[in-house]
Amino acid sequence: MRPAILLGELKTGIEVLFSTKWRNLWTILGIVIGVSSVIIVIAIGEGIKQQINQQINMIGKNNLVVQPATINNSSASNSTSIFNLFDHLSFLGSLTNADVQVIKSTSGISNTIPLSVINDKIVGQNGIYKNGVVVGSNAGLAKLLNLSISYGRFLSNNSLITNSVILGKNAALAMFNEDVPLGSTAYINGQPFIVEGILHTITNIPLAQPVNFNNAVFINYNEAQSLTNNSAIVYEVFAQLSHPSQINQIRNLLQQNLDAANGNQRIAVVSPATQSSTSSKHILNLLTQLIAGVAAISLLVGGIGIMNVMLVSVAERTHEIGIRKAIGATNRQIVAQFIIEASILSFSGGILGIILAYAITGIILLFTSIRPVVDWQVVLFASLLSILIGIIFGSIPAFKAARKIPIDALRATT
Amino acid sequence: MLLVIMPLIKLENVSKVFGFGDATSLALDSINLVVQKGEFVAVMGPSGSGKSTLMNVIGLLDKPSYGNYVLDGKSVARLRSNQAAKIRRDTVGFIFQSFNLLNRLNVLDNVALPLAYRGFSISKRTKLASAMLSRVGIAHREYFYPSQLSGGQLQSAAIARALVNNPKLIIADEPTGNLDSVGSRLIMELLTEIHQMGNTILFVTHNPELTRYASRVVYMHDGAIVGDETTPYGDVAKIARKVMYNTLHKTDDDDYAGVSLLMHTLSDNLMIKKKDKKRNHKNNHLKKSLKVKKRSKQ
Repeated sequence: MRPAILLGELKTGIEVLFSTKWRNLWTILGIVIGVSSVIIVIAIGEGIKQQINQQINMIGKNNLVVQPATINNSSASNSTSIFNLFDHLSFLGSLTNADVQVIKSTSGISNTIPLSVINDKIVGQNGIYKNGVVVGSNAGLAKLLNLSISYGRFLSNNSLITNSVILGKNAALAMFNEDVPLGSTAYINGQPFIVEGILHTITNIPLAQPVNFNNAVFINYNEAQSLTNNSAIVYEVFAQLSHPSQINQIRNLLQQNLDAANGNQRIAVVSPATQSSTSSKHILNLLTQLIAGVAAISLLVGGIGIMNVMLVSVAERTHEIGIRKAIGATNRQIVAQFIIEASILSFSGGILGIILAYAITGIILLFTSIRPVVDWQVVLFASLLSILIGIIFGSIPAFKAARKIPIDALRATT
Repeated sequence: MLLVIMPLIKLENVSKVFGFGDATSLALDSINLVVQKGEFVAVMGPSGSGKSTLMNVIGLLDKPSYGNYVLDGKSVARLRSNQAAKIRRDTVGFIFQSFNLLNRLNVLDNVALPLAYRGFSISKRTKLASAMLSRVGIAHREYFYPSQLSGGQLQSAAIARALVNNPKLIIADEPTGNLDSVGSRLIMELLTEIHQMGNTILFVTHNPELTRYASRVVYMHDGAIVGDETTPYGDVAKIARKVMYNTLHKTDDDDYAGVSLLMHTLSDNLMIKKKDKKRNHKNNHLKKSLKVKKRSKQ
């Protein structure tokens, strides 16, 4: 097949498809949805991965993260499947105050930043504040997670300063009538706390952190423990190293100490810089696979739609096929004509899908905290995939067209 | 040097059977036909006599059931469809009664289509098609679509398409069947011109007048060739003349069909009488209106 013929067929193919454009538009809807969902899902997954990586880079190389052990951190790390997806989401177990003390006393660790969450009643100027949670941590958290202060100051390590609370942006707006409620009193579990700082809006990373920091109020870890009689749930402890070069030895030592204090494998020590398999990533990969499967089914259905419309087209144009064969079109040229038409059809579906995907990722970007990243490789893959679908599903109608006997096709009335 | 003159078409005992079992019908019955290069052959015969089937077999649109067929020195009776397509493309040009242009393409693209199937570049095939359109006299209609042309122009475009590959053989199946007398003359003169340039043309017709253009007339009946004569250019062929002037005579066929000559003539007379009555009525009406005018003047 020489390129000149292909060019001519492209031109006529587009003209032919335009002559039945509404029918074809409905037909390619399946491809549009399939292609756009593939791109969107991959873009969201990629975006979240990048956000997680950013956070890891932020935490840096001289920190260890201590987390409750989840299934994938133990020996069953590769057996994550749809069936235990919900075990992941429920985030097994937590750390205790005793664990925090073990971490503190381990040699080589200069500073610990616990992250605990308590669900006590918060009362502000506007009554009970229901949307948020109380986060117990310490001064290091602001620097570690790059939380920036818009008014006042963050938590202090000075033991003389007590009963101070820092508000997330949304919490401040919801709890008080003032824009800057510094010096106001908030009550947590009945105890008065003085508002001493308000945070800027924080970009939340979906799946990567247990609470929305914008809605949270922050108090000192020790006070959180005393409020709850040492039963506050500790989700994570960040351990800063005095000698970052000895990260592996310290991690092993820390793991041994924690295992000795608790049962085996209940707690995992993760170094973010070297170990990238966090549970949120596993969930993410699993979700991506799941939705990619749905998208594949959508593409399959779209392909079948294209096959059907091409079969109708072949039946309608039997007479045309007869004329073309009479003036010397070989079977291969007839096959090429119809496959090219089917490919144009599915490719235009792919293009529309790409446009739709860009539009939807734009909307996601505007209205959620997810930052989708559309890779050009994915777009290229999607367009090639749509052409491939046209070739695969167009070939059956095309061969049917080519098999027609010229004299019978010429006699057809259409 | 020995020069062997090879016939362009050589059919030996070619038969074509349609259907099977009790429904079998013999469309072509042991046809033997030799056509030399440069002949202008008219094929005549009543409907269902196998003219079109013969054209389809000669044009490789259909395969003969039995017999041997040599086209331009190649045996082509048992070709595969792809090989047949290539020979059709390179050797045969088709002209159909219903033109068979593709409505979605403009005239130029229609004419260029056989060249596209031959693999010519777009610029080259546009040039060739354009030249061919001006040769058949419709260069000013290049970018029109078939729906915008008259019958004569459509058939001219179809002839341009048949000629554009420079085929050795042109097959026209009732090329003037859908045309008025002006269009018919235009097309037949075009075909004559093409014939005078050395092309071989086979055409099917019902119109005995058109045998004036042919150099040879073949008559078919019930799938067999029953007459074959060479005829000088400009004269109606002898057997065609019979067909032409004997239509009002009672034939055996009429008897078999139970249609008497009387019925023919009666109905014709009746038609004339009706027309006369109408004419008289009109005249009376005119006379009346004239009278009215005269009266008003008075």
